[in-house]
Amino acid sequence: MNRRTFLQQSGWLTTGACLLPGLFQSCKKLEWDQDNTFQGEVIIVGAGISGLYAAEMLLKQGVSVQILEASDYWGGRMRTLPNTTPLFQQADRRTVYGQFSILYDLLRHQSIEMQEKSGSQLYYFAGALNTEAEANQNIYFQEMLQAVENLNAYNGGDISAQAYFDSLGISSNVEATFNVLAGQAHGTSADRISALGIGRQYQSWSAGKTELTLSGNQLQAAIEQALPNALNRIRYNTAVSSIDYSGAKVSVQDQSGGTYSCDRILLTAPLDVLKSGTISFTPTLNSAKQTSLSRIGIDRSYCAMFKLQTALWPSGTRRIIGNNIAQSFEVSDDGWVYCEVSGEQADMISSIFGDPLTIIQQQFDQFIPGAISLITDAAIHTWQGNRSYDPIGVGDARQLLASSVNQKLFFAGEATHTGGHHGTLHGAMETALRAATEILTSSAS
Amino acid sequence: MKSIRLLCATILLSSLCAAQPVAQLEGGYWHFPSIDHIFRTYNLSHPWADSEVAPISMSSGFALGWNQKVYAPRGIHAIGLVHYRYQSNTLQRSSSPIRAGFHQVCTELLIRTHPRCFVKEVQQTGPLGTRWYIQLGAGYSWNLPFASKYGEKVYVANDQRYRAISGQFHLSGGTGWHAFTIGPLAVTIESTVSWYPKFTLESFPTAVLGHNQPGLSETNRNSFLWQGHIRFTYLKKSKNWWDTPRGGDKS
Repeated sequence: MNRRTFLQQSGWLTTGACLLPGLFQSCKKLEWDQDNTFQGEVIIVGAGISGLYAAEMLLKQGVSVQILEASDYWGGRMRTLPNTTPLFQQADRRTVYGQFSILYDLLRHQSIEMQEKSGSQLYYFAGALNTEAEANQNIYFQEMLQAVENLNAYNGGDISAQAYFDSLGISSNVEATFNVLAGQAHGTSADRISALGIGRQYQSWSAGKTELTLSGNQLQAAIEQALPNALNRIRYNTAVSSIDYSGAKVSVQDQSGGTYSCDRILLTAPLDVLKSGTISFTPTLNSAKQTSLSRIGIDRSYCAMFKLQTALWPSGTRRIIGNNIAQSFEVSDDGWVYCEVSGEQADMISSIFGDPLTIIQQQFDQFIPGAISLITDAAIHTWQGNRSYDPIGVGDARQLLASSVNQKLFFAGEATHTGGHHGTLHGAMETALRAATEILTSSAS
Repeated sequence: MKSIRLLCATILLSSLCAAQPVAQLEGGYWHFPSIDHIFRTYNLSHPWADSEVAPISMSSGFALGWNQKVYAPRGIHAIGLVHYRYQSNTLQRSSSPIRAGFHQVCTELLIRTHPRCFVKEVQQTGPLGTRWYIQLGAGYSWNLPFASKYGEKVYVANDQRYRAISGQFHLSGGTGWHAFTIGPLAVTIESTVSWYPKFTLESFPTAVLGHNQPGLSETNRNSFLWQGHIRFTYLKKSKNWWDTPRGGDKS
């Protein structure tokens, strides 16, 4: 071959090689396949993070959406202390669990600044408040920490976390700390949550291990920016009382007698609302679905916040773990204290005569003497159900709860998460994605 | 068993001594709707995003192997190849919050000939057989998928970084043309289609989405890879054998 022929042929080959990828670059669709997409009317019950997120996705696909919210605010349990002053919303630290979660993506896209969770902890046991270094020198404390670590890999019999702790014969001096780390951390107490449930949740966790914090105000602002269309679809003070899905259309009635009609209905109401039976179904939900509601745990929670004139704890302290009824207090250098009491401990507070907020403040004063006299502002909210957990015998209850009914009734919310992210905001969002894809690909029965 | 392995190795080695070494560059396009659906679901799940994330489409890679004359009267050659391919959603759009794709190592054995050989003998004119040919073959591939978000490699579960190897068989067919020679190298242009009956990227939905609540499949039935190759074969004889065609062989 001569040089001219070689250059000619090489030129054709090179040109073809460069153009070829471009020919196929636009062959694949980037958008959701709208040819097979449901295009009707959807009602979403609940304007929490799950309902809002599902609404935004459906609206973007051209689906007509209406959100019915029982309260007068959006966000649900995203706001730990709803209807408080902006001061409390700013001081309220929310945690993002995992840098691979959809919530992290949302916040990052909105350029929200988050801080990695840091700070030391103080532990009250054996009659004294101990720093982490002091606590780590206590052999019982070390054994307790090891027990909590081992729970993450637990794959044994379905027993409670408390039963697991008792089986190890560790001193009861550190039992309250164990309850905080293994029980309260999951929205309940150690005697109610399954050790197997804790292990399975840890082993299936796929959102990443980084914990980031931001203020309640930042979180709300991010949601307002990211899900604006959904926020415009909310009808407030509309508590749903009945859902009739027996006909071609779904008929919804609220407690005031208002009626609504739709093709699909998505329930994102909290588990405790579903359990309470305030929403009636026609036809009634099948026995498996009803049983699933009772097999998933959700407890009452008191969420209290108060402000001290000055912080009475060492600078850089993030949490103080006590050994009374109210056991875990998150603190900041500027004097804020946040306490969440759930499970058996919450039941104990409700059985004591007196204001729960005062009781919690008094509990705190036992570990930090003099604190109660320095409180300048305080607020509390009682959640009849805060976040779900796996009790003994949960089995496949979450899968059953998540399953749709007759291609018309769909379920989302953190309690329906089947992959270990229940009890979290991003978990609630992930179930909304599942429900949205189910609705978009649903056909009339 | 040992003696059989020794015999096979001896036959392989002796045939390789008579073979021509081969290197090729390749680029391709993947068709696997289930895998694409994972990226479309990602886009659905980010309604606030300014632009969509692209799915995996393009493939690029290279292969090394040998070309061996099997049966001269019918112009049948065998080619054994080991491919490495790289495919990622960022091959199309480099700016993306998520980078997901897979490395693929594939071993393949192809039989190359002219269609006329099924009817009668073809008059072979050179070391690579007829100038135009068709080829059929089979192989096995190992996929090593990867995913990272904002530059950090993702976890899937149990505190483990995402690392999953899966394998599958495939069949391939194609056509090629020995274009020209450059010194001792024969340059061949080839186009092939590979059919994967069952193509799997383990835990890929979880790696891309951070979860798999929608229950997306990590397996695609009937996947296809369409490729273009430029192959360089080292000829021990550097003659353009097709410049003087003989009777009976029109290519």
